[in-house]
Amino acid sequence: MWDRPEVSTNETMPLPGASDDADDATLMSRAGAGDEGAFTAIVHRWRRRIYAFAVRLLGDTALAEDVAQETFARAYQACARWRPEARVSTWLFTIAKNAALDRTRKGSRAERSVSPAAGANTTGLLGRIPDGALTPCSSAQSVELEIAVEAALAGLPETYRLPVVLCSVEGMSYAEAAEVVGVNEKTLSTRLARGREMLREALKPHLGEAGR
Amino acid sequence: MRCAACREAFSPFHDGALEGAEAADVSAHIDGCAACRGEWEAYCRAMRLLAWGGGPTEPPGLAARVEQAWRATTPDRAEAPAGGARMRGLGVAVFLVAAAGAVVASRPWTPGQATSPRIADPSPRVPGPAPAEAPLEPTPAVPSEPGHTKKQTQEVLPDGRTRTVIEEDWVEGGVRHHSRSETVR
Repeated sequence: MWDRPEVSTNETMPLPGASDDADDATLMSRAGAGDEGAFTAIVHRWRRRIYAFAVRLLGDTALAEDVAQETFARAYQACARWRPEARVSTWLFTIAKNAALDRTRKGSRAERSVSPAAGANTTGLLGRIPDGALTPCSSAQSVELEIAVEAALAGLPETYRLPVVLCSVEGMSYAEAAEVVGVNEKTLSTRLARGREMLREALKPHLGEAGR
Repeated sequence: MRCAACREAFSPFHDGALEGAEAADVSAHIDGCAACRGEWEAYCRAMRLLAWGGGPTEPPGLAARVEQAWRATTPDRAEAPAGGARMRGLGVAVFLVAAAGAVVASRPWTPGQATSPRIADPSPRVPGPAPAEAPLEPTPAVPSEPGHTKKQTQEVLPDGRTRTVIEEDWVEGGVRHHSRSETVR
């Protein structure tokens, strides 16, 4: 029998568990009541994830910085309206998604079909490799692999890239990702499957013999 | 189970989103089909690559810039619930309908005379600056790929918030899909 693979989560940015959700909710409630320290804690927890999400969505680190700033500015402005029924993570990613799309539309950018050299920031990509995780001999291969993954993601149409980033990279459930994207779960699942298939095709040269 | 159906199910199978019997079918097919087993292994490797990275390195100074950005804003402390604007609008509508009914009831009906109720203006006219425009801002459909259209409209609500509606149409696998999302900020 074949089971689902145990996909290891990134150890440098572990996905929040149930207790973290409760902490986030407590912090956000306090922030909504005027506790700036609580909102500072929220920002500290989520800033890097939101920035990484924006980089993957936009393929541009400068724009991603703007989106990260805009996200938390909007979140702070609206924190009094946050309700415990919404997970803080989903809420923040929705704001970030909207901020990123606003940036894209403002710039009147056509749908992305960038080549690896056009949009990817290799400095940011190199920083993704866990410290000490690779020998000097394998590091070059891993960098190439990493760039290939980023390029493959960047090459996806936005409709499919967003579900892939939310589910496959950020580890969101179908329900959470559907809420962020603004569609129902079935549509999300369809787009995710299509995006993953396109990604797999793009990564075939890097997946070894079985990737034929 | 056919190979095509098995491979189409890779994504939900990977996420554990298939029902028991369906998951068992996929698993059994992978077990018995060398070609699909190879595809499944490649699929899993691709998914591991996606999940592996720690994310782009945060640039120096981003923490300070983010803090500066949110501290420069003012929290909206008006505890208006999401439906507040709608409730206020509903209240005004009810008032206007009631006022119209009062005007109609006060006018004697004469055969042959068209009754065209004139809604009394509930608010006295006060000369002043013209109210701010709340224009609709439709954007033309932006094709993201052949057969895929996306349209966004924005509307400024009476309470100052912005309603954004995004509608997408696309064809996938011969089936036409439509999605609509609405946000109010």
